[in-house]
Amino acid sequence: MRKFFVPRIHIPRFAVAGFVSLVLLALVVSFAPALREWTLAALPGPRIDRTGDGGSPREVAKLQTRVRNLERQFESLTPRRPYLIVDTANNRIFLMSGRKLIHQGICSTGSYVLLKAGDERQWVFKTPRGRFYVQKKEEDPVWHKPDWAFIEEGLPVPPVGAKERYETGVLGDYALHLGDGYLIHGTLYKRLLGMPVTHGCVRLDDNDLEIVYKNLSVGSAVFMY
Amino acid sequence: MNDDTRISNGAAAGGEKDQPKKKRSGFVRFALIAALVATAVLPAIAAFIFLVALPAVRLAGERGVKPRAATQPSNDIARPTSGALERKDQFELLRHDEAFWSARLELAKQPKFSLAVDLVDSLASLDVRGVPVRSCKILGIKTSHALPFMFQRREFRERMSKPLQIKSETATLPKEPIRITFAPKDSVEAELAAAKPIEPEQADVFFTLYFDGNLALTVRQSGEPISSGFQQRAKSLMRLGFEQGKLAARSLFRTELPQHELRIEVTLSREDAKALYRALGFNAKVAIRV
Repeated sequence: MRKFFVPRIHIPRFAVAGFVSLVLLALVVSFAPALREWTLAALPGPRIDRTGDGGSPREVAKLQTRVRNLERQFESLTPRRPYLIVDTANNRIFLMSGRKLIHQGICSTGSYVLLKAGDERQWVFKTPRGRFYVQKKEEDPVWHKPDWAFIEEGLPVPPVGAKERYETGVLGDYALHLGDGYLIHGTLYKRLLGMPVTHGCVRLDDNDLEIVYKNLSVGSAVFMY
Repeated sequence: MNDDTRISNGAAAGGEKDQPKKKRSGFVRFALIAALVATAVLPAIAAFIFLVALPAVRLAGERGVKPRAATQPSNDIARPTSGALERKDQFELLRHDEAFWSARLELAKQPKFSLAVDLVDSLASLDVRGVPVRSCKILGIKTSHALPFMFQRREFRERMSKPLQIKSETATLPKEPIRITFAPKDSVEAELAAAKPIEPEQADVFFTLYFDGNLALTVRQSGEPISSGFQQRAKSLMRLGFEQGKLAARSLFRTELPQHELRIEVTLSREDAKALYRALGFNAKVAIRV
């Protein structure tokens, strides 16, 4: 009968046991948090301490009053006069008065484009976040074009004060200045409303812009996030 | 001489000697097997006791305030809730409410955005200067089973009463989706670039904020992921698991009982979750009401 050659490999038994031990240990360490959770789930539940002093009815009432006062104090931080909230993540605006919503609409906010010019200058087009105030209101605003407006169109940059730097009719009927060159204004590109396409300003539809312009005054708060 | 003869002769001459095997006694065999099993299993059992059983039993043995219903984990385990809270419990919980509102007022002094997560009223609020600019309805809450037990500890309640600072975070979407563009050479190239359609952002929203003391707050969008969210989420969960494993190994080496991890997971609508994540800066602060 033909015999097959079978090699005999001698593996120390304790080495195998040690390897198994390491594997089990690694499993326990890796799954310890989950195993703790399951153990806690299986236990009957937290034990309630019924001993010790717990506050008289008067103390509880005083504490309830304190909590209510804190809530009122927090509510008083909300501006009374109309303010605007701009949601840059979803490109929406909310015109509020106190905690009441007056009007909402869609907008366009910063595109997050990082424009790199050949001369090592660069600009990031994003809408800033935080609390701002309306610094100036303007009707029939004129756009003072900055350098990037020419660079991104592949055009030569004209000197400061040149007539090419001023463009009318592109910012809509109204503009609200927020400082540092950021505006809330109208747009010719209505189909792009709801998308992040601007250079940092907030663009609104004509109707929304009129409502916002008429409800906000110089000094009104604008919250952008 | 054929192969079989050569093999058998070789075995007889230089290989194993054909000696009669010594029979091991039953006791020795048993001892050997027991030693092997002990080597394989005992370290894992010891680790289980140290990392799992002891901390859980110690936590469960503590007494304290009866937690509110919202602090019960809302997943499969249903815990019995008995009637009205006793006055002592009400007092303690009111103190916690007082601390929560104090924390929000404290955060209102800062110019940064902060997050207030109210698990009792199921509301998540993005605040800046004390103005809640976005109030989000929490659609689902999941908490660790350790939360009702940890709530018994006064120091835990006091810790949760103060604003918590975010130490690190993971997310399935970028904080700022920056796109790099190079200035076109001329107006023709600029027009071609402008004609490209703008693709709407399709990132799924799933992010985790890590705080001190092994506490993590996970915010996820409702509904199924719409893009590569599965992959991103899996990566995020793997990282969470890896961090947990690292902490467990560390406590084993230091022979310290491990800290209980407290996981709070809230589900929001996709728009809410995205808005909150993008608004919160790095190292922002969060106030949590449990």
